[in-house]
Amino acid sequence: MSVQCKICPRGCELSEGEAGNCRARKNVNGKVTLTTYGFPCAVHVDPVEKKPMFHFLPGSKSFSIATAGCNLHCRNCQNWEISQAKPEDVPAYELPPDKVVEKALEYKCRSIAYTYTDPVIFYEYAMDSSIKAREKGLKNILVTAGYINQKPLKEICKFTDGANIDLKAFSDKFYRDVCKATLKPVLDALVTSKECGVEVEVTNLVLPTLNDSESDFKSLVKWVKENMGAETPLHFSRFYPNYLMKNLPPTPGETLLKAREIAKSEGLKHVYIGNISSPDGENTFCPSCGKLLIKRTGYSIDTNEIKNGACPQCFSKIYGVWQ
Amino acid sequence: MLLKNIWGMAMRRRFFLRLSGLFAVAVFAGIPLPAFVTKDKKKETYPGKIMRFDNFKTSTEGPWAG
Repeated sequence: MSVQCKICPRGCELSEGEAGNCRARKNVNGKVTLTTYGFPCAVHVDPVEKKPMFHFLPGSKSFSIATAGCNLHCRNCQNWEISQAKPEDVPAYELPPDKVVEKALEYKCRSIAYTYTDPVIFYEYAMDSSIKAREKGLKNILVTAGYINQKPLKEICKFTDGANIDLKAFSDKFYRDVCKATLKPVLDALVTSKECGVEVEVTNLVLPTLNDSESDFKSLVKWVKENMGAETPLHFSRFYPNYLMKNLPPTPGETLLKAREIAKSEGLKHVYIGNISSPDGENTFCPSCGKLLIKRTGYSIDTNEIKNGACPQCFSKIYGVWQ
Repeated sequence: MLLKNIWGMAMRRRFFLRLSGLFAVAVFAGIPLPAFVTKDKKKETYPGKIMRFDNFKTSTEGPWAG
């Protein structure tokens, strides 16, 4: 009997024994089954800044897991060895949800991040781990491309505290050509996550010649401001040649600086530059008085002045999860 | 001689009928079949190689992004 997977907008129709486009979800006896449930192929204790989450318990550790497969097929994927592989080709650990939580506590993490590939494809595993994590006082972070249907998204948002959602470009053509996906579901996921009370940060990986024009940045920034609010942290990230896009050079530093300048001039309050060393590129400033609140070097925190979620100088509330 | 007898018995159709009958009764009664008959459910769920988790090390050198 064939079944339809309703997790993501692809809506794969699966005949008996067939795996979906993501490779991880399969029709087993007429039911959509996550073959990687409880079997993460990547397990690491990361600084939360690596996600990147800059407004979410700065300096804390996040227990980070991923299973093989992905529902996007970005030609520039940085983690393609696991995201574009079939589960049968990737060795995995046996780590059921209660064990994930146990290990996260053992390694003194304050959150669990569902990351590296995309939690959309290992949804049931991420959901069950999130529920168990909440019971033990841990927070949950989704690092995702946001290519998910509204119903499952709203359900998982109930147990999610923070999310870094990629907005790969503000262009449907880009999504179709580079990621084999579409833009609209991603925009909807960004808005819905924020409406559900999740602390959302947005990442835009800047690819030379593909999404790096002034108008590309302007349209993306304007949409973020109008639909998610000016306080939403936005990360412009540097691209390094990888996977099927080794023909492109790394993103020039000036392009990232230009993107940040545009975002700030359009009124976004927290704009960061990632994967590159630049003065103040990763620091958090108070949008009201300009005081340096968090000074970062790479993934480490040099100083954190935020007190009770506010600037110690002008007492303005700073968007984020601080305790 | 003994081996010849066993071989002769095994070659009879009745022997196989009885054997399959026994298996059918066992399955119907919920009696667990020998290990070589039951499938490894773990392997059935995850098609790839499964590693021991105690090899895990704390590190920041996970996958490059995220």
